Amino acid sequence: MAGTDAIRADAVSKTFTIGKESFQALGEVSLEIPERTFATFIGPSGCGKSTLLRILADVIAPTSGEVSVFGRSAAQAREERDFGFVFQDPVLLPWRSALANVELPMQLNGIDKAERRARALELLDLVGLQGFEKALPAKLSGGMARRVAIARALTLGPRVLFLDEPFNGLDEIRRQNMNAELQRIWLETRTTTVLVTHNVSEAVFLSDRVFVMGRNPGRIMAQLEIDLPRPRTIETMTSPEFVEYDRELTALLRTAYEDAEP
Amino acid sequence: MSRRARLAVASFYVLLLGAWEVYGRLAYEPGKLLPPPTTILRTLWEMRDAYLRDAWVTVQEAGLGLLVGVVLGLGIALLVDRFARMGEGIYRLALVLYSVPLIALAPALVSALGIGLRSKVAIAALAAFFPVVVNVTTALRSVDRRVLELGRLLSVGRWRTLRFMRMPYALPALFAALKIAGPAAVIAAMIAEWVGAERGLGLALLYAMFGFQLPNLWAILLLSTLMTGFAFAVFEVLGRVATPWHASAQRGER
Repeated sequence: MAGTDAIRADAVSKTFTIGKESFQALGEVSLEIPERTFATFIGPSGCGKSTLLRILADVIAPTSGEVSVFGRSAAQAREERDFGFVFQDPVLLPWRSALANVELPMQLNGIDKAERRARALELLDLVGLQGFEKALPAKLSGGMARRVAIARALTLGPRVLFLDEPFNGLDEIRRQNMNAELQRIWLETRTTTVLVTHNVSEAVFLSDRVFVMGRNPGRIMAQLEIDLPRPRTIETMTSPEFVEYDRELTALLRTAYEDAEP
Repeated sequence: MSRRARLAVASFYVLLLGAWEVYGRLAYEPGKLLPPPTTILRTLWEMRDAYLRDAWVTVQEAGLGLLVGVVLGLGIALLVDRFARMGEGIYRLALVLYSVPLIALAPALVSALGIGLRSKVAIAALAAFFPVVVNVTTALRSVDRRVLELGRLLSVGRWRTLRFMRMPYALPALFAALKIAGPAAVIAAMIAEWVGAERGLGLALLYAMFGFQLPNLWAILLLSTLMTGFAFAVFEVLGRVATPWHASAQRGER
């Protein structure tokens, strides 16, 4: 796990102001995520985990503090197309086929048609969607649409992949299948990945490092290294080590809830 | 509608027309409101050359007016979108302009632009531009915030975000606007002809009215209704073809 840090956040905070009301979503958060790590933010709703993710990806700016990504500012990294981002919902453009949706980032960056088509086909293959290239998003199931969103996030060969509760709303078995797929993709690409979730076993199954967050204001309360061999499988999930991590993380998460709800 | 319901509706209309025909034949005298439908159709047939020429003039005026109105409306919508503060002012100005009754504005425009084509195009454009402004502005504003964030993450400029990600979202709204603006342009062109024209269906209507020629009046009414209905239907179909992905283009199927 040694090596350079991909992401460093230094005393990052965020206060939202709506009219005269202001609300501190994030206290002062500092963290490091090493290169080629799968990191996860977990915590109760309202703990600012999505906000933190969006600040790291420079989707929104922090109120104070600094983020650096591979030694540059987050804004610079974003402008150099270092980021892939998957939203809570797939956010596909409904008039574009699965293939054309995956091609979009490349098209907008002026990559020529033949090249982007080849790359998009390769990625649809990677996420297991061969045969659905021409389908419009309305015809895809929830799981398939999420695969398209993941393929789209990978098109420009990002150095960091951000996943904001990407499997929200899928049932438990589909979620487990998607987690296995995601791990396979991650093992193939080894892209530094930051995931937001509120699902404990998802966090244990996928992560090298889990940040447990609490709220009022949002902050990191604990950090847990998950040292399980990969690839992890459905069988891994019933192993004593996995169960122990699951228990430990659940306990940490409970503290986060108790802290927030006196 | 089920087949049975459709049959019921159709027989109702047939019955109504039948009753109208009987009433007309028994009680109609020249100058009264309800000539029999067959008389109206005969009048339309007898006058077909003159009325079709008039209709063609009106169609040209309305078509050009619609074109100008749509270009104007799109331009304003894009300005409102690009320059929020200045856009608010333009939007209000457009609203004021649209709120002036056309029948009041028409004489001024006809005296300024003459009784030829130009005044008709201007008035039709005034009727057509506003639905486009309202619908397209609203649609551009209501694009999913995350789509804009996706644009930011991809670091594409404002113009490309607009072209590739936001304009297509506004397309169904544009066609909805055209379904209103198309018929409105036809009506506005006819109103403009009332004020002063050399040809046109509106002018023919005026003559029929002042001559108390009720069959002619009904014939023109029928023809102009067909025109506005056609204007609506054209954009309905075009909208379906252009945005097959949109819910409005999918009937019952998913």
